[in-house]
Amino acid sequence: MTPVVAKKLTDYTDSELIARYLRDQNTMYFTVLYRRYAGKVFAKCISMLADEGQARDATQDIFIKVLLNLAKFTEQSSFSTWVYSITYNYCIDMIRKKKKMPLLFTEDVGKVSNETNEELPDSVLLEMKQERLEKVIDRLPPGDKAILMMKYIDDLQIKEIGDVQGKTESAIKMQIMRAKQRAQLIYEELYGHDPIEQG
Amino acid sequence: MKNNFQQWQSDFERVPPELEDRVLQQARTFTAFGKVVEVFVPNALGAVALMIGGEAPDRPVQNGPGAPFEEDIPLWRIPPGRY
Repeated sequence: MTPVVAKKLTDYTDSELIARYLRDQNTMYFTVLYRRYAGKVFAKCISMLADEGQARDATQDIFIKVLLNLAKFTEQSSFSTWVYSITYNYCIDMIRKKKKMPLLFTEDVGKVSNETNEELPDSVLLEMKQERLEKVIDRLPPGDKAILMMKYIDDLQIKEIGDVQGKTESAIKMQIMRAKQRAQLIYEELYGHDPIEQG
Repeated sequence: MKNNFQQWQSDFERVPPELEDRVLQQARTFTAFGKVVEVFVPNALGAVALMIGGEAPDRPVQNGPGAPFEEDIPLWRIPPGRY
């Protein structure tokens, strides 16, 4: 007879953990979800806010927001996408409030010429040395930063990014293109025409 | 294999350990508060409804005083040993 082995909590899928938390109201299920995503959420907060203290507070607020809205999670996207979208939106709101910064996207800044609709290859960003990439990303408007992080870190599809931002696919494509152009412009301002190389 | 973005991101993934305590403590508080609300709010709303002249919501107790008489003698009044 095969022995019945109890499934470990860490083996549960996100959906199973959510369903069990909502049914039993037992925080041990939420603890597993927290441990699964805290690192990623914290890293995104640091990248967006560039301050560890603020990132800590933001991570705490984001997870409480996630807890209080678990019943509203409809599984239209994966749980990770949902959590990350809360994270990006929270950080953008925080930046907007603290810095009173209305300029979220390159289009708002208007530094990139509207005449250049040339699609830059992904290699423009993906082949940058890491420390240079960090400096370039830090100088991007928060909306552009978030959209590039969704694309290159979370590997989200254009449609998923559109769902997160509440925009159409063509608007997102345009924003990605503008963000890449701006990143290249910042790179050239910082490093001149030094070739972009993976470090 | 991680690209340079993902590599950059993974450098920040070490969460301060005290953060887990803070988050989970708050989560436990909210969960406990949610349970309290779930238990008391319907009764409190029922009481308010009665006070302003409305009808109290149906109570789940079936055999206590005030329960509909489906039999001659409500079950709670049957002396022990009569079954």
